[in-house]
Amino acid sequence: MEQDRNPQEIAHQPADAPWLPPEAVPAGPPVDESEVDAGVVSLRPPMALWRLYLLILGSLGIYWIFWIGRTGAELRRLIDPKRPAWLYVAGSLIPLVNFFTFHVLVRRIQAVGQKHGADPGIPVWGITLAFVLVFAVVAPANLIKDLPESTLIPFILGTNTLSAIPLLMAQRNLNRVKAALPDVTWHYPPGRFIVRHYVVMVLGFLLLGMIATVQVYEWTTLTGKPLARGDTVSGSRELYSVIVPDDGWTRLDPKKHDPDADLILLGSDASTLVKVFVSRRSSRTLDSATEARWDLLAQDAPIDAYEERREFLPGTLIPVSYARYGQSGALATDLTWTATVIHDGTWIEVLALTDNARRQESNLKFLIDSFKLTGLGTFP
Amino acid sequence: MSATARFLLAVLWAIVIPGAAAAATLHVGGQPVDFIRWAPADPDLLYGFLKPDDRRLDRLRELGEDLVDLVSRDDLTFHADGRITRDTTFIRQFLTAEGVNSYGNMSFWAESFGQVTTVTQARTLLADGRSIPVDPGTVQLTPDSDDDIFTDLFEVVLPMSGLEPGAMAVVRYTVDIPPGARVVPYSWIIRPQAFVPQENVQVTVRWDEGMDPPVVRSGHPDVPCRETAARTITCQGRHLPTFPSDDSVNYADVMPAVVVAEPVTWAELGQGYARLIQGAFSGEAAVRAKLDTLLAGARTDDDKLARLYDFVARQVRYVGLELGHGGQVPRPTATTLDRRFGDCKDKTALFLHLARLAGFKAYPVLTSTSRESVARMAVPAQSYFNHVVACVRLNEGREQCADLTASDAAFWDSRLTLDGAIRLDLKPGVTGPSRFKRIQPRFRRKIDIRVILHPDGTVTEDQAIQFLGRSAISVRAALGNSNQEDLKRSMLRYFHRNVSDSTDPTFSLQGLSSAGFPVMLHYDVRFKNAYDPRTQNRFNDTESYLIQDLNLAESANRHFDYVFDGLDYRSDISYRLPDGLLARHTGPALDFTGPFGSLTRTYELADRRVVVKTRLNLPPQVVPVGRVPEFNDFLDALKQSASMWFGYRAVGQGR
Repeated sequence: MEQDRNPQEIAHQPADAPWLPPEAVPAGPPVDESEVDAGVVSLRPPMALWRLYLLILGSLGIYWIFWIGRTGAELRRLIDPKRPAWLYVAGSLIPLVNFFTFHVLVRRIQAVGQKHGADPGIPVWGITLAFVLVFAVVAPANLIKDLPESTLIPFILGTNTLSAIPLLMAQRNLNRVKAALPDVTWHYPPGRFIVRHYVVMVLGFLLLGMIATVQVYEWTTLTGKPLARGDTVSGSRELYSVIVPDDGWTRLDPKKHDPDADLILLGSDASTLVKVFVSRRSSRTLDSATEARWDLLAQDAPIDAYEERREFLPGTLIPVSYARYGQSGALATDLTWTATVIHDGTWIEVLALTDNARRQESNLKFLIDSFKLTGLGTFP
Repeated sequence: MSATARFLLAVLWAIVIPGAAAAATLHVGGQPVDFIRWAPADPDLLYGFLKPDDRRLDRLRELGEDLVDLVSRDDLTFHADGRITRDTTFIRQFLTAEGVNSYGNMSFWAESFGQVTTVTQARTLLADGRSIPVDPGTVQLTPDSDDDIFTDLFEVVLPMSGLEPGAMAVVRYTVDIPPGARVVPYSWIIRPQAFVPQENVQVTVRWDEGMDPPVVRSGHPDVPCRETAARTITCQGRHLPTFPSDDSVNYADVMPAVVVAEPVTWAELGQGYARLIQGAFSGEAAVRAKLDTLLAGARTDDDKLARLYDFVARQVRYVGLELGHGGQVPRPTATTLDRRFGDCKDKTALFLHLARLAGFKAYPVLTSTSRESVARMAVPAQSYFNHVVACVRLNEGREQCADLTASDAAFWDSRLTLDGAIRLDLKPGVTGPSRFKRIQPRFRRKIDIRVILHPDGTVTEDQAIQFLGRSAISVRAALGNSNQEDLKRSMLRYFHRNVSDSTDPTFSLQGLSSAGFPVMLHYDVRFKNAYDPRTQNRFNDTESYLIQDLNLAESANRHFDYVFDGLDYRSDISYRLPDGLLARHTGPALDFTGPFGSLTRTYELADRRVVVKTRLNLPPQVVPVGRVPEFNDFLDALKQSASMWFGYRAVGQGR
């Protein structure tokens, strides 16, 4: 366990405001030589590893960047007056370059320690290897698009914990080096969080709380009867049926989500949704129905792909319209499939939407093609 | 005595007491009519005896009937000397004023050639016991002729006097048909159930001793025939309701009949008529001379037959002199060649004579264009047929038939007018009638429309409508003799009804005089402010000709199978956008395939051009009456798809 306080540090703090830097420490433009060599230097105090972990976790990883920048700035003062801190920050944000940047940073911590006769403890290659390994795990994990909503918070906490490991290792070395530095003053008393830490953590926890709230909301409202691939599903009046295309689908209660809908199915990811509407609209034709749907969808985003085919529902003389709408939005491409019939003055539309076309298009097409009328002769 | 028994007794009484008055010559318009004798007797026919039970009459009124035939009776007697006599009695009661006003004239048909018809009863019986005879001075004769057909058949119309609701009309007449008046075996088709309810229907057939008994066959299950005495067959039915009516029905096929015919086989019937046609071949020198002229330079069989057909179908005009034996016996071919007119059998005989002289195996075919059901022709009888055509057996075994009266057709497509009709080939080895196969749908149209969208919102269209096959023949027949003014009126009416009545197009019509080719109708039309390229991004259009054809195909039949003649519709509609606009989305592709046919539509889209191709194929078929609603639903579903559209965007605008 690291020491929270270094007795040398206390001596340099003003008695009334121990968290303020001593007045003797100059703040200003870069100097040609390190401040340690030049005399007294003011640094952040060594930080207990659990505090750093909490900051990383609490800030949802945002503190990572702050840590790199601040450490880079301290190294600049201690050993690299010509290497600006932003270089470390910029390098950390570029994939692959970040390996090298982090390696340099850790090596420079090592160098400062060697210069002052301190043994940082964990070898540079070990920390760098840890960084590479963690990155190799976390980066691909972040690319998973079809992550179930329910695993989002554990996923965030898990990836942040993993990515904290190399940082914690580097912090351990940094703490040892700082403990060995002569003539150093601390920006604020060691062993405590400062206001900015709290702000970062509050913001992070707020974000986490929001995610959790959404999660809880979705958990309580988007839950329903689980369905399995191949299940045949009918609406309230059993006028029609569709077949569930995949495992992981859920039947939701229309009263909670859309009272106009007769049936709502949630896909295996939350971005895939199927609604079925049933209405007595004797004046409606297939032409007017598809045109109305076009107008509704076009209110959200321009329709840049449209295909429609009409044929008889299998085994009947009832025309059905199958339409596919593609819309490129700012963030994603939305795909909508509809199957529409009008029979005996009753209008039925199956509306299937997803912004995960790559995975769900074949599922939606299967579901749309499976649509059939089951209550012929009993239509209202 | 019950009312029913009293009624039957009265019927019997009415029938067994013949008219006893002396026959007098009927005068119509002051002129004597020697084939109709006026000899009404005045038996004491009592209204009260004839009147059915009141409850029965009330029931008929409830059913909406305006009249009822109390008695319909035919007595036929085949005499040993070859004469045939027919004694017919009608007693009709009028139930409503509408019945009196609409059906107060009784009528029957009488032939002037070789037959004498004697009216033995013609009077009105009233509820108060009065009996009012028909005044012979009011009797009218209407010939069964039109512009090109002349017959010796007359409708004898008897205006009944003193009619009022409840009154009865009594008409009875006898026809004496001597053997010399017939050149083909006698046959008589009686419809026991028609569009007036029948209380008592009876057909009695007698024949003299030593004769072959005539064939008597009833096709009506409620009018059975049985032997009621020696050499006597009686077919009788009671309380037959009004025969159901439908819009699209061939009554000759569906209305049950009692057929009385001299005994003969189909083969004998055919051979007998073939001999009549063969007997018409005459004046060989003149016919051969004509043949040589017609075939000069012709090399192929097809060419030769086409020339012979063109001459007989178009240069020998249609005139039917169905007088005397002329109703059955074709005139000498030399006469027809000389006169340059004739009816179906005259023209067919001339064609056959020419074709046989040219070396073709040609033969006549008796045809019924009003029938399609062979099963309904239970008895070999000439009366089923109304037409004669010619067929040729070509070297490769192929048969080609032609209707010589179809002057608007070519040799090769005149056969289309016979699709589905009954045929009796008049050649050895034929044992009965069959049907002409249906070759193609009756209605065939090919439509090409080029639509140009102009920047100012104007749309111009060049519409080309091709009528193919039998449709072309029909259009030629309907418009071929029209003058330019009539044509213009017809074409404008057609356009206004089917496309739009907001503008008058210019038009041209081609192929009216080119038999064998499509008839092509062109419309050039301009629609102002048809779209707004600045505010709209979609162009809508409707395939109105498709809707029209689908409407024509519908049936309102509720009682009988629907014989649908088929429909083949193809359209290619191309749209060209103005500079600065590019086509993008299109309307729905169609693939409707059902039990009655199919409708497909595809869109082709390239820059400023959109082409919409629609294909409708409804083959000829018999739709069972139980499936007619389904058939109409099918057509309705297709009609919903008459709309077309495509989207467009300005050049440079995003997708």
